[in-house]
Amino acid sequence: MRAFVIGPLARLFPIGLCVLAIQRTLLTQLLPFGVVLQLVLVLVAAAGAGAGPERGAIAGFVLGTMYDLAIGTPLGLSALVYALAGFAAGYVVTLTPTPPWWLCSIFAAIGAAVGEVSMPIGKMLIGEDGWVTRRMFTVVPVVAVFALVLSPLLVPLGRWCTCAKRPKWRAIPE
Amino acid sequence: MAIYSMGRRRVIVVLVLSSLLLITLDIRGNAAIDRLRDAFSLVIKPFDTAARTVSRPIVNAWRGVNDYAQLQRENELLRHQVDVQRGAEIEARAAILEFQELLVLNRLTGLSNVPTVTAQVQGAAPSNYSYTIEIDKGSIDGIAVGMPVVNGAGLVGKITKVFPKASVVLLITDPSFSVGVKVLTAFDPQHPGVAVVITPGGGVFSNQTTTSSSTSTSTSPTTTSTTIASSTTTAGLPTTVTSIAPPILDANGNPVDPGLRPDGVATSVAATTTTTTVAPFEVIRETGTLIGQGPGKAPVVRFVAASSTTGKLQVGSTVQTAGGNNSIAPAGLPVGTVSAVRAQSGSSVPIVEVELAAGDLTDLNFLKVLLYVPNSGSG
Repeated sequence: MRAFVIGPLARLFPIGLCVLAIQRTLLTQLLPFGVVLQLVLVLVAAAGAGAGPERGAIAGFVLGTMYDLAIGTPLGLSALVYALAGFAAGYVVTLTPTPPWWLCSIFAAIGAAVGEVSMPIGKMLIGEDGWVTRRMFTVVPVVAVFALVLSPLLVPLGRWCTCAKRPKWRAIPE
Repeated sequence: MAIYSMGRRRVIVVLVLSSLLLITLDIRGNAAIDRLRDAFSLVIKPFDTAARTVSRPIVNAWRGVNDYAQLQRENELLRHQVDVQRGAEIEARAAILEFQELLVLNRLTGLSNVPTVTAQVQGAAPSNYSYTIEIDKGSIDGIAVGMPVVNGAGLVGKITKVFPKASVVLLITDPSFSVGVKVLTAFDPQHPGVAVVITPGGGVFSNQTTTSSSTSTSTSPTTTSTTIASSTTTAGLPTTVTSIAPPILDANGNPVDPGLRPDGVATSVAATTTTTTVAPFEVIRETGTLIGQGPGKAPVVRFVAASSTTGKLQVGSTVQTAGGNNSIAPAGLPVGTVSAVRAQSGSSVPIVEVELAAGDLTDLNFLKVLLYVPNSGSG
């Protein structure tokens, strides 16, 4: 359990700092359809799609905590939401035995969409109302498509960050 | 592979409980978390700077592709606005001088007495579910949580997080933003359709008003006569005249009884006469709470209960901060103008939509933080 957590932490922290910096600078300026693209969330979802639900949830928790510390949102809120996103992306992967890369991308997009939907709901639960609006119908698809496009690159990175190995299927000896 | 194994369940439970614990600690306020945030802001600062430098050409290229036509239109519009504003600026300068004089006369504290820190916007919120910006000044510069932030035109937001060299500003459009405001409506019962302007000082002006002032002094060996006349006139309106006799002073400047001058010199002092035409405007002040409404929606002012004057609120009325001991902002900070007055179903209290004076909050660059601490009046 210890190695399961400490190993990914050592890799997630520096990668998380770089991704957060890009999120805070570049992606706040590029606003397709007025939507802020969520690179950190996509990395979490990709980690889930590449490494499974537990590691996805851990990546989500670590990167979400860093996100909360950097942005000033209530500490733990993004951690919870991103952990859910990583778990969701990893959970759908477990339903298929050997998902090809394009299926992993779709699963990452599903995880990112789950995270983007969960954020306003989480905010509502802690008393920050007013974000569950029709605008979500624009925000969620745009973020999901962004995840779909970037995940072929980010799934291997997420897998490396979480110290996971690509599953190898061997024939059962007779 | 089992979808729900014991190990998996344990990981999920630990993460969920940890998150809930952190949320609870942070919302209740925890010094350790604040210190952790400060430390993290210092760690991420070099990464931010590097990312900003690297991404600048990409951002410029993106803007060049997407915003060129819009920028051209905006540029033309701004040139036109600058021409219009030149005339208005001269008028506004005179109004500010009058306002300052009135504040001094009434021993009131104006906004100009509140120290400010000028800051540059570093970046916008990286989330789709919060309207915040980050500025490049922090606790080292005297900024504290709760201080109001303005641009040249009006209130922009308030400080919600302070790091040593940076701060987070919650914008006025965020649904979690609220501030006490007063809606000032100059209601003219005789000419309900005539536009009446209320200045930040609360004065009422119309286009027909003229102001004149004259002072004459004549001195003879035995007689001193001083006459000060000041009048403000508006065509067709009743006039109020106020006369104040100035005190008689002896050679040392001490006030003396007019009938008992020691040197026996006869003195005649004319009373200072101030003639003021008071417009029969009824200034309605309604106090409420301004609440942000999120993206693409105008902030609204909500009132606690209906009063006899709430029905007289008009489009174009001025909205300013209400001030007070517990308010985040001093009184009189311009917020905007009323853009719509809507009735609420099932309630007699209207909802007032406000067009912000600060303009487009997505394109802010330089801002001022008022170092205003509630309960003390100024920084």
